[in-house]
Amino acid sequence: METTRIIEEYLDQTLSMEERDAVEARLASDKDFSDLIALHKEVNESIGDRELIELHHLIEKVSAEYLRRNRKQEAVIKPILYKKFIIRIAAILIIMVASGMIIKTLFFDHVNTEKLFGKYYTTYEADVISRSAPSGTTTLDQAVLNYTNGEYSEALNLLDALVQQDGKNYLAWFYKGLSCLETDQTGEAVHSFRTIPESWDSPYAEHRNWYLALSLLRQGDITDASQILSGISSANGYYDRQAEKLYLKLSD
Amino acid sequence: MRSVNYSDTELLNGLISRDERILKEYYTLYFQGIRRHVLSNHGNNEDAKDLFHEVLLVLFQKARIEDFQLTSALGTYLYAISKFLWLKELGKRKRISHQEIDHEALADGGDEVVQINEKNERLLFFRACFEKLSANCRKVLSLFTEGFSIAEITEIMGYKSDQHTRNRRYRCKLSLINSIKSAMTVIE
Repeated sequence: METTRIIEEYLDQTLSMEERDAVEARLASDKDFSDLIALHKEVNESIGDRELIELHHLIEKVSAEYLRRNRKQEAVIKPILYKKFIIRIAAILIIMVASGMIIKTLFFDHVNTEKLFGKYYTTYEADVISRSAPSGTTTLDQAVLNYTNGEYSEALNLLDALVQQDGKNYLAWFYKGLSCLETDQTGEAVHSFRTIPESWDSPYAEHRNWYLALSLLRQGDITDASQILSGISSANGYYDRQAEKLYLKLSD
Repeated sequence: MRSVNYSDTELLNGLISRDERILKEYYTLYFQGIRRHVLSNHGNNEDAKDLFHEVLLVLFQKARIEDFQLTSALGTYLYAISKFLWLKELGKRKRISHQEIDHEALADGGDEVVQINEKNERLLFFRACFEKLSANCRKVLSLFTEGFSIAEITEIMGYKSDQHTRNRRYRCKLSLINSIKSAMTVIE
């Protein structure tokens, strides 16, 4: 306790001159003693510094409140954010699946039907004997001749004129549909073939049905194409076997 | 965002005067930024909490010096203090190598910050040991550090003599020093 007294009185500057000199001499040579004095000094500072300790306790209080409030907010916000996150993921998945289906329908299905069309489509062979235009032939004959010779634009010009003159010239509509197919106007081909009534009493009716089915297939309209193919295959006509095969492929 | 538009000076003065509302404002304004810094540098939420506590105490020690003047925005200053302290802490934890420590940054004001923080740690540690003393010991030692004379303390405490008061003081102080030394040995 004597050392404590000396140190405290040294720090209070109440030591006698003799004792103070002795302390300072020891300070210069004894590191442990020097450290002990420094410790006493800082301990006194600590005891006297009420402001620091007050602030320390206040920080602890405010910090605890702030963090508690923040945790509560996070506890409320996190499930909401989690729910939002799940909804977003679900939405993204739905969009991806839908996009995939659309892409499949637009591109891959189209490619498949286009492939099938390419496999089954052959240019219709018109019933013409001569490939040069004899004198006295009708416009329809000329158009058919153009079609047979692969002059599809010329054929279409004539056929357009014919169907404009007579909307019930179904043979003209039939050849127009065929010419459109050759010139990749599939929509127009479908329209032309569909203009001809279902009940068309003509040897060309079966051909019309077959090429209409192929036109629909090319358009990707599998449902309508299948329906028509089903009718052709059960009619035991010229295209029945091809129609059945194609129908079965579309049904896969 | 500041919920109330306190100026940097008001925030500093509020810290010095230990104004609870202002202290809350410090948390609202600056805690998350410092937390992010800690989390992205090998720390966790507990580290962030402790670091912010230390940063405020360092700022308090600097701000209560009469000639203290901010040379940057308060937020920038706090962030700089937190960076110095966290760098030092990571060095202690050996999460970063000696070479990785930005010695230039530490020398450029960082060392002083680290020293203030270390002293704060010691003062709070001593205070914690002091709180474990008996109520009478705490009172006697407090009265001495507050500048009361021996005679005043003898009267306040109701002791029979000034010498008894002196002896009481030295006994309490010795007890405190011994408990500090003992606790420090345990920590080391």
